This record gives sequence, structure tokens and C-alpha cells, in this order.
Amino acid sequence: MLLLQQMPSQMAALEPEQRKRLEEETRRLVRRRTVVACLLSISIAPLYLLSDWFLYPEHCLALGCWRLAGVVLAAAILVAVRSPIGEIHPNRLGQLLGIEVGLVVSGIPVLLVGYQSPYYVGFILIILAMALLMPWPTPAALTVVAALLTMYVGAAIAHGRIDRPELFLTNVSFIITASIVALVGMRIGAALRLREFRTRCAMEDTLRHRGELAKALEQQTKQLGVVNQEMEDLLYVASHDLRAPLINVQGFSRELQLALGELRRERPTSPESHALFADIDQSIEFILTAAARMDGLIGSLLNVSRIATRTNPTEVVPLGPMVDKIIDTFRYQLDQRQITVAIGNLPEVIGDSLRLNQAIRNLVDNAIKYMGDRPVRRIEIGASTQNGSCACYVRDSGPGVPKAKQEVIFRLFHRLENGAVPGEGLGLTLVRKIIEKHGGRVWLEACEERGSTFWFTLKPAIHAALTAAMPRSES
Amino acid sequence: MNNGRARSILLVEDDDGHARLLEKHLDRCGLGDRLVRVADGEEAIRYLGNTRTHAGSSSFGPGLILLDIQMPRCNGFEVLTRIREDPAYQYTPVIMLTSTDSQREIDQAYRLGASGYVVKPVDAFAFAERVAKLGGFLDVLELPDQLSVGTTDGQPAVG
Repeated sequence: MLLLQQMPSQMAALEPEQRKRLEEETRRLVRRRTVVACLLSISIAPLYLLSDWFLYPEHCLALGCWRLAGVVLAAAILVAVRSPIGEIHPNRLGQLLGIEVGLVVSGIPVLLVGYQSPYYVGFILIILAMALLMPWPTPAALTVVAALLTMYVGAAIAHGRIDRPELFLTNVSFIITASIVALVGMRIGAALRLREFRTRCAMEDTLRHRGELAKALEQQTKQLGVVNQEMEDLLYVASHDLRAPLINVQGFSRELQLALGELRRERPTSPESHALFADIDQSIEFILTAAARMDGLIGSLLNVSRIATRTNPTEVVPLGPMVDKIIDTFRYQLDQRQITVAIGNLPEVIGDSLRLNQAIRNLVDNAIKYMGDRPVRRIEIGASTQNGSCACYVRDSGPGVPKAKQEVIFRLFHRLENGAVPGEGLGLTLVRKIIEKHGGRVWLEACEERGSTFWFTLKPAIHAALTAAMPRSES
Repeated sequence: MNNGRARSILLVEDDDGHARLLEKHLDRCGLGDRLVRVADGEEAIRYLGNTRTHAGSSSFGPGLILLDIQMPRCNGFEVLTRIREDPAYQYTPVIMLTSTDSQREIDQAYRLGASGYVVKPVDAFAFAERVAKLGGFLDVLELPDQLSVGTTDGQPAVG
């Protein structure tokens, strides 16, 4: 009963278009079920003919004619249901079929032989079949039920005197009971269908929502790509344009130096003007130093932007020989600061050899710069290949990076507060950009006081995983 | 090369400062009085067009063109394309001036027919020497005593 109470409120909660959709679905269902009912009523006609033959041989011919007429009518209704009329009035046609079958199957026999005919059960069967097959609204079902009940009572009275009223009333009460059961069943069925419909709608909504989310995400990713490209372009143009005025600053400062030199040569100087000349000289030196530093910054910015805008061919890059060469170029600094280098087994990877060289060079340069005055000065370079990806590392025994700084050091212009170490704060940004451009990622494993390990992943060349050599060590 | 004395150096440069610095460099090496400067690409194309029309022959046009890449309105690459399309200037040496060593720009310059490129800021004497070599002005080049054509090959500034 709870379902019955829920139904009107649930129906009211439906959106207008949902309600329309449900009604449309119901209409289609009624149409299909009416077709089934037509075929069913036609196919059971021979059975009735057979039972007529046994029960009422004297009325056999009349009943047979009625059965035939019933079959013809059912066939006509079937045709109507399948035609466009069926699309507009499926309920009406279903009701018509119910009444027609009731009339032919039970109404006529009762009229011919009286209320006591066992054919009255046909009414009950039709009512129950209606409840099982038809998702009708209550008024439509009530009409059919009332028509069938009236038919029984009318046929019984029309046949003649009812000599056993208790039997007649029992039959009527059976029909009424069956009707009540059918109507309640139909309401429950309707409530269940409504619940199923709502669940289905909710699921469709969820799916659609998910689809929209995926689309939005895709769009955002695309936008992010555009913004990134714009940023790179901006960086390129900005650094390009920043350089133009700087060339003037540098060029004319040198011109000033030259002019000052000539002035000095041409005029004998007093001690005062000598001090003045020295002062001007120093000022120009400051300008030139600052300009050179800015030039370095702009150059690094250009490098960062070029990673995005310039593409070199992708090839198989053997990291081992590359790292050997890089270490060779740092030989002087390494020897001077007594730093040991250990190079492990390095794979061949797929990538842009120029860029990878730059990335590894920056990591080694970084390791040397931030080594500090530790008793053990050591750099390790190695790799481990697993799951189709190869992770390489550059480890140093330097002072490490504080936990809070481990993320930010990869950002543009970020430097650890160490004024003694020269640089623009772009080296690690460049490393991150290069590795990300290769589809890899870079991260730092470090604890304070125990050195840092910079990890980066690259795509290994296929046969790279198979080569295994003993770790080499050099100083 | 016989008419080297009559021929000019066309400098196409929008930045006054850069133009003045280059002029000073060339001045020091005795090439300054040959310099004609125009301030952008369109002006350069107009100038080259006029030179040809009036003289009727390219031999009176500039013997060398110094062409900045980054310019408003009509950039160096566009001017270079126009120059190379013009039969009168098809073989005139063109040195591209750039403020970055961007490989992309350098590649494009050579693809379009540049004879060389110079990254600013330039080393004065190496620059003048390169200009003299490409433009056929070696006979008028005056390098300071300690320098000679043989010892400064111009490589640091010119690729």
C-alpha cells in the first residue's frame, strides 16, 4: 500500500518532459501488449470450440459461429492496433478487445445456457489477464471490469429466471474479487514501473553529467595547452625585446669607456679629475656588470621558451657516453673541489639528444654548485628501468634541500637563499621543462644533511633494458 | 670589386641606438662614410626600388645590405624575400642582424638566401672585417695596428 500512496506524489515530482516520456513509453507498451492479447485470444479459439462440443452439443453451431465472429473481430482489432490508429488510441483498442473477448468467450454462452455455465470463469480469466498484460490507468481498467460484470449479470438475467440466487451471487462475488485483485495489482505494477523509470532517468542523468564533465575537462586541457603556448610565445617575444635595449646599454657603456680613455690620454689630469675619472670608470663597470647579468637572465629565459617552440629530431640517445662527455667538461671544477663521480649503468633512451644533454648538464652543474664544504664530496649518476619506463638519478652528497623547498625549486627563478652560489635560478626549471617535454617527470628526494637525489623518467629504447654492465667508477 | 669605392652599405635597422653603435664600429674601420641607414623594412624596399630605377643598373645599388630581423611593419625576413626576388639584388650580399642566437631564425635566414648573420652586440673589428670581406671593401678597411685581417677571422661574431 505504501507504493500506492507514493504514486501520486512521485508522479507529481516528475519533470513535464519526463512525464511526457513516461506516457509515451506506456502508450507503446500498451500497443505491444494489445497485439499479444489479440494473438492470444485468436489462438485459444479452437480450444473453446472443442469444449463447446463436449459441454453443449445442442448449441455447438451457434457458439461456433460466435467464436468465429470473435476471431474475426480480434483479427480486425489486431490490424487496427498495428495501423496508425493503434498509435493514437492503444488504450481504447485494448479495452475493446477485452470487452469483445468477454462477450464471445463468456457473455454469449451465459446468455444461451444461463448463469450457472462454467464459462463465467472466462470473465475472471480476462480480468486477471488484463491485470497481467496491460499497464492501464485505473479508469480504463475499471471500465472493462464494469463492462464485463454488467455483461454477466445482464446475460444471466436475460437468459431467464435465476433459480439459485446464492450460486449467482457467489459467481458475481468471484468476479468482483478478481477485479479488486486485478486493480490493486495494476496499481502496484504502475508504481513499480514508475520507480524503475525514475531510476533509469537518474542513471541517464548521471551518465550525461559524466559525459559533460569529461568534455569540460577535455576542453580545459585544450585551453591549458593554448595558454601554455601563449606563455611560451610571450616569454620568447619578451626576452627578445628585452635584449634590444640591453644591447644599447652595453654598447654605449663601452663607447663611454672608450671615450673616457681618449679623454684621459688627451688631457693631463689633476688629482681631482683623476678621482672623478676613476669614479666614472667604476660606475660604467657597474652598469656593464649589471647588463651582463641581465643578459644572462634573458638568455636563460630564451632557453626556457625555446624548449617549447623549437623541436629537434627524436632519436635513440645512449645516456652512458653522453654523461661521460658531460663529466669530462666539468673535469676541472670536479678536480679542483675534489668531488668523486660514480656513473652507474645507464640505458639508451628515446629523445632529443641536445635537450637531454642540457638537462643532465644542468643537474650535474647544480650538484657541483650546491655541494658546499662537506667532508665527503660525491656525485652519483645512475638509472633503474622498470615497467617500460626508465628512471635516472643524479645524487649528490651536498647539504640537501629543506622539505618546504623541494617543490618550489623547479619553479621559474627560484633559488635557495645562498648568495654565494652564482646562477639565475632557471637551471632546474629548464630540466623540468625538458623532461616534461619528453613525457617524463622529475622529482627530488632529499633530506636535509644527507644530500639530494634528482630523479627523472624517460622512455627507454627497446633493447636498452637488456644491456647490463657492471657499474663503473671514476674520480 | 673595381667599383668598390662607389658602392654603399645599406643598414636596415629600426633601433636608433643599435644603428648608431654599428655606425661607430664601421667608422673606426674607415667604412662609416659608406653607410646609408633606413629605419624599417618598407623604407628599405622603397630605397632599393628607387636606386635601381634611377641608376638603371644594379651596379649603383648598395654593395652590401645589413638587415635587422626584428622590425615593425615589415620584418627582415620579408625584406630578404623581396630582395632575393628582385633580379637586380639577387646576388647582393645580405648580413642578417639578430639579437638572439635562435637557431630557428638563423636557419630561416639562410633558407631565404642570407649571406651571413651577426648576433648583436657585435665585436667592433670582427664586425667591420666581416662587412668588408662580404661587401668587397677590404681595400678601404682600416683596422688598428695590432689587428690584421689574418688574425681576426671574424668567426666570433659571424656564423
